Amino acid sequence: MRKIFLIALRDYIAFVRTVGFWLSLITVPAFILISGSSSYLAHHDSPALRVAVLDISGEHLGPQIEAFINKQDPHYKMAETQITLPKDRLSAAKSVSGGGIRLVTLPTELKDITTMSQADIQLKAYFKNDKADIDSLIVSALDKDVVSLHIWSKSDKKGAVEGAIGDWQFDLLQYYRLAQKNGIDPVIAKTMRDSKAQILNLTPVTNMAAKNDFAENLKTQGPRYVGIAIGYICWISIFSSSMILLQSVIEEKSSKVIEVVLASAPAESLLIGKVIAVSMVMLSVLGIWLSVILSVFGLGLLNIPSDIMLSIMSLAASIFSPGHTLLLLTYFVGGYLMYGMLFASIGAYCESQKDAQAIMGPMMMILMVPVIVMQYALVSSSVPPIRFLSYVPIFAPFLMPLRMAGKLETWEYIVTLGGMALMTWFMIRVGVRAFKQGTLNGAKLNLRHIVKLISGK
Amino acid sequence: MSIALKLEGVSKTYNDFQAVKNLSFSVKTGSICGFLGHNGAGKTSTLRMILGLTAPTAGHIEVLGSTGQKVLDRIGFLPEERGLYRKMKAIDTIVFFAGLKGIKASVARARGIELLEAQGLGPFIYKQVGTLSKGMQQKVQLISALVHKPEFVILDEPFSGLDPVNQQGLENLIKSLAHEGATVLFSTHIMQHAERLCENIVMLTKGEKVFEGTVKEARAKAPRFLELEGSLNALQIATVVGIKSIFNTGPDHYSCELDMGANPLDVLKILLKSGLDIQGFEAKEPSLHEAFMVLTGDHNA
Repeated sequence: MRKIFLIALRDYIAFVRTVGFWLSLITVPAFILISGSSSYLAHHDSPALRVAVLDISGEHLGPQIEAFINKQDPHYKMAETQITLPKDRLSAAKSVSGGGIRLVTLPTELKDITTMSQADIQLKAYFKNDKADIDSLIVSALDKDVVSLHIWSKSDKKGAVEGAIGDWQFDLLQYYRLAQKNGIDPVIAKTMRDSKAQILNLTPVTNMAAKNDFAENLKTQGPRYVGIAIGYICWISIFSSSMILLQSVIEEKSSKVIEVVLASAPAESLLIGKVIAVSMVMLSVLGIWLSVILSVFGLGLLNIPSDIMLSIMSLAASIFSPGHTLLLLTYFVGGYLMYGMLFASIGAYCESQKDAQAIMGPMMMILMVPVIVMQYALVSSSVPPIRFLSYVPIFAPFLMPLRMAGKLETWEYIVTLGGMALMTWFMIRVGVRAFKQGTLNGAKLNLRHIVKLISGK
Repeated sequence: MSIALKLEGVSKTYNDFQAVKNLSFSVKTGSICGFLGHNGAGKTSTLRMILGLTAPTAGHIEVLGSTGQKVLDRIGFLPEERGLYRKMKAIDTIVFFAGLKGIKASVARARGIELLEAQGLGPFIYKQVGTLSKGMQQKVQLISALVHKPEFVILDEPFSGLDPVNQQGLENLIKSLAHEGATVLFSTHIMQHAERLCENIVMLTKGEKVFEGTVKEARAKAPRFLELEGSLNALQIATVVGIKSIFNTGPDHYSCELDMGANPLDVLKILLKSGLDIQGFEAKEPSLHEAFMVLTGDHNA
C-alpha cells in the first residue's frame, strides 16, 4: 500500500509540474471567468442607452411606448388599458439590453418633426453627428392604420435598441388601439386574446413547454441536455486521462526507469499507483474547474435571471441527488478503470509515441462510436442506437450517464452495472498480465499474444 | 556460511528461444560473486528472474531464504540499462527509491546527501537528474540502489560506461559493501574486474553454466604457458612431454602452451636436461580471460 502511495504521489507531482497540466487547468477557468466577467461588466458598467420617443402617429402613442420602455417598476400598469406588463418580459429585456435603456427627453431640435419625410431628413443629419445628445430615437407613426416604430440610432449603437426591445410586445399597442377604436373593452379584449385555442401535446412535459417559458423549458428539456453534457464530459475525462496514463507508461518504459521501479515494487503496485495518480490529476483539474464555475455562478457574474437560476438549481438537485451521483460515479470509475487499464497495457508494449499511434488507430475508431451516437440524444436520449449501445459494457460509462437524465428501468441499471463490473474485472486481470509482459518481457502485441494474455497461458 | 542465493534447475524460454538452460548455482552470504558471460549469454535474464521481474519457465530460485518478490526491500539492484526520472532532483530520486524499499523519507534524505557528497556530487544534490552528466547519473542510480543498505546487491554490468577512475571507485565500493556484510552478485563480460573482486564466479554461455567456483579454480581450467628465450629448435621443443604447442613470438622468443595439469617447472627441467640453450624463461599463469576463453569453448568471448 505504501509503495502504491509513493508511486501515485511521485507520478502526481510529476504530472502537476508539467506545463500541459497548468495550461489545461488555467485555460478553461480563464475562459469561463473572462466570458462571465464580460457579461457582468457589460451589464454593470456599460452606460444605459439614452433613448427618446417621438410620436408622430397623432394618436398619442408616445406615453404608452414610454411606459413599455420604463422598466424600473416591474408592476407598472399601462395607464389606459390596465394590462400588466409581464414581469418576465421586463427581466428578459433587462438581460438583453446590457446596460439597459434610459428614457430621456426628446431633444429640442427634434420636437418640430411631425411627418416621416421631415423625420428622414432631420434625423439622418442629427445621428450623423457624433455629439448627438441621445443614442437612439424611437419614432412612432401610423402606416396604413398600423402602428409602426422607426428606430434611429448613432452608427455605433446600431441594433442596440432593437435588440433590447425586440422581445417586448409592442404589437399590443396596435391590438388595444384597434380594440378601443372599435369600442371593445380592453379587458375583454385581453381575455379574448388569452383565450385563444392552444395546441397541446398530450405528454405532460411538452404540455408545460407549450407555455413557451424558458424556465419551464429548462425543467423539461434541461435534464436531457445535462445528460448529453455529462456523457461528453465522461468521454473527454476518461479518454484524456487514459491517454495521460498511456504516455506515462511509454515515457517510463523508453527511459528504462520502469525496470528499476519494478525491482522495488510489484507490477500491480506500479500500475495501480499510476492509475491513482492520473485520477488525482483529473480530480484536481475537475475540482478547480468546478470551483471556478460555482464561484462565477455564486458571484452572479453570469447575470442569470433569478427564476432561471432557481430552475437550474432545481434541475441540478434532481440530477445530482445522492443516489444519482453515486451511480454517475460508479459508471465513471468503472469506465476509467476499464480504459485506464487498457491504455496502460498498450503503453507497456510501446517504446515510443509512434508505436502507440499504430495501435491507437483502430482503438480510436471504437472510441468514437459513443461520441457519434451521443448526437442522437439531441432528439431523444432513448433512441434505439443509444439505448442498445448503452448495454455494451465498453460504452456504458458514456451512454448511461447520458440516459440517466431520463427515466430508466431498474433492470437497465443492473444489466449495465453488472456488465461493466465484469468487463472491468476482466480488464484489470488481463491488463496487469499485459502490463507485466509488455514492460518486462518486451513481448510484441499481436493476435497470438492477445489470445495468450486472455487465456492466461 | 549461509547461502544468500540459490538457483536450482532454472530455465527461461521466450517463445521458441531458450535464454537460460537448467541453471543451478549458489552464492554465499557476504561474498562477491561474478556472473560472467558474453553478450546474450543469459546473464540479464537470470538476474531478472532472481529479482522476480520475470518468472522462470522451470526451476526454483531462493533469495535470502525466500522466493518471489517478498525480499525486494532487502535487495539493491542496478540494471544494465540505466533509467532515472530525468526531471526529478538527484536527492528526490534517491528518497523515492529508498521509500519504495521502506526507508523513511527523512532517513533516506540524510543518507542520500551523505552518499552524494561522498561521491563528489555535493553541488548537484538539488539538480535535476537530466541536467547531470552520464557518469553522474550512473552514480545517482548506484546510490539509489544502495541507499537502503541492502543485504543483497545485484549489479548488472556495473562498469559499462564508466571511465577508469570511476571504475576503480566502483570496485572499491563493491569491496566495502562486502566488507560491511552485504552479498554482491555482479554480471560482467570484462574479466579483469571479476579477477580483482570476486571470490567466486559463475560462467555462462548460451544460457548454460560452464563453470562455478573460485577464480583460482577457473584459471586452473586453462592451460599454463612457458615463455622461453634463446636460439632454440622449435621442433625439438614440441616433442617434449607436457608441451602441447609452441609459437614463435619474436626473434629467439617462444611461447609454449602446456598440457592441462602440466607443471611449468617440471617441463623446464626436461627442456634443460635435453641440452637446449635456454637463456631466459618465464612460467605464465593463465588469466581469467584465458580461462573464460577455454571454458566457453568456441563461443565468442
